[in-house]
Amino acid sequence: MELNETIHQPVRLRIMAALVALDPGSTFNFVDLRGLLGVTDGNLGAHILKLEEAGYISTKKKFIARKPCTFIGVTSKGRAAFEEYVDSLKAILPQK
Amino acid sequence: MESTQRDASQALQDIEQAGEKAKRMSLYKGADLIYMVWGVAWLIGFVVQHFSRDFTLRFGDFSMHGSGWAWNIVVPIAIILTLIIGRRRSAVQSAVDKSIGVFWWLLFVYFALWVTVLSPVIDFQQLYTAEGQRVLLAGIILVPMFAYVVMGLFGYGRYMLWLGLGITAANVFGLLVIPNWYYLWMAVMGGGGLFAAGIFARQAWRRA
Repeated sequence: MELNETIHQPVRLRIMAALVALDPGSTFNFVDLRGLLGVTDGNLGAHILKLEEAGYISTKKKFIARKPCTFIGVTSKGRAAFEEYVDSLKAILPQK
Repeated sequence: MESTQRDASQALQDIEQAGEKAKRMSLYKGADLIYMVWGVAWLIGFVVQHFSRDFTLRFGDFSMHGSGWAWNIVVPIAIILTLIIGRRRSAVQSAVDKSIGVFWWLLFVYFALWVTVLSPVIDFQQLYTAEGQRVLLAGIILVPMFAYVVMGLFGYGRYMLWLGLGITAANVFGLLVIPNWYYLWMAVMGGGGLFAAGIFARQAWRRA
């Protein structure tokens, strides 16, 4: 079965899972997302770029206490693609 | 891309784990310090009130029981720290959080409104006595604890429900059963309870 290749990569999969688990419209702080996933800045940045190019996530920069912070949220297109991806995974597993 | 059942099962597990971690971090990060700040604020406020329970404020001919003076300092500090922590430390920004902030403000406006509306029938002289101040404080505490119960029921962590109910019960017990020890009792049960909730929240998001 064909799976969405953009999402079907361990780090990107967990990024999407973390973002989709939040309430719609919520955004995750880059630093906290990095800590949650246990990846480096560069690694996370590269995967975020890939997901952003696919239109699955959006990023927003804000200044908090005069420091730039990046917040990442899932788009409706990304949420739909992720749900489709999860359905595809479930379809692979034997039906109970 | 071909995928085996084992890959699919692993991917679904990863999804579940990452989702759980994200939810925990969203719920608890930032909240931990806020609970600790309020725990310390309550501890200071109640302990000072216990040891200055004979303190009287005098303005010319007018005098009033003034044991609660410390609250005028610790509450504004705690509110300012809450706003700063909420803005700087939260892992997640959401519209729901803004609604919760508005809900808290509205709750206190609602309380203040009722005090204003009922002011013609409130015996303010009674509120200036030691007993009146104790009852007033116990009444004020019921308001945020009710908010905790509501938040606990609506997805903000079940521990908030138990915290709200627990402190409410301790508050009523202290007021009715051990009024002479009410302030110290609430320093331990209220302040201690909030601080313990902060430690619980900290451990919960660090496990994430």
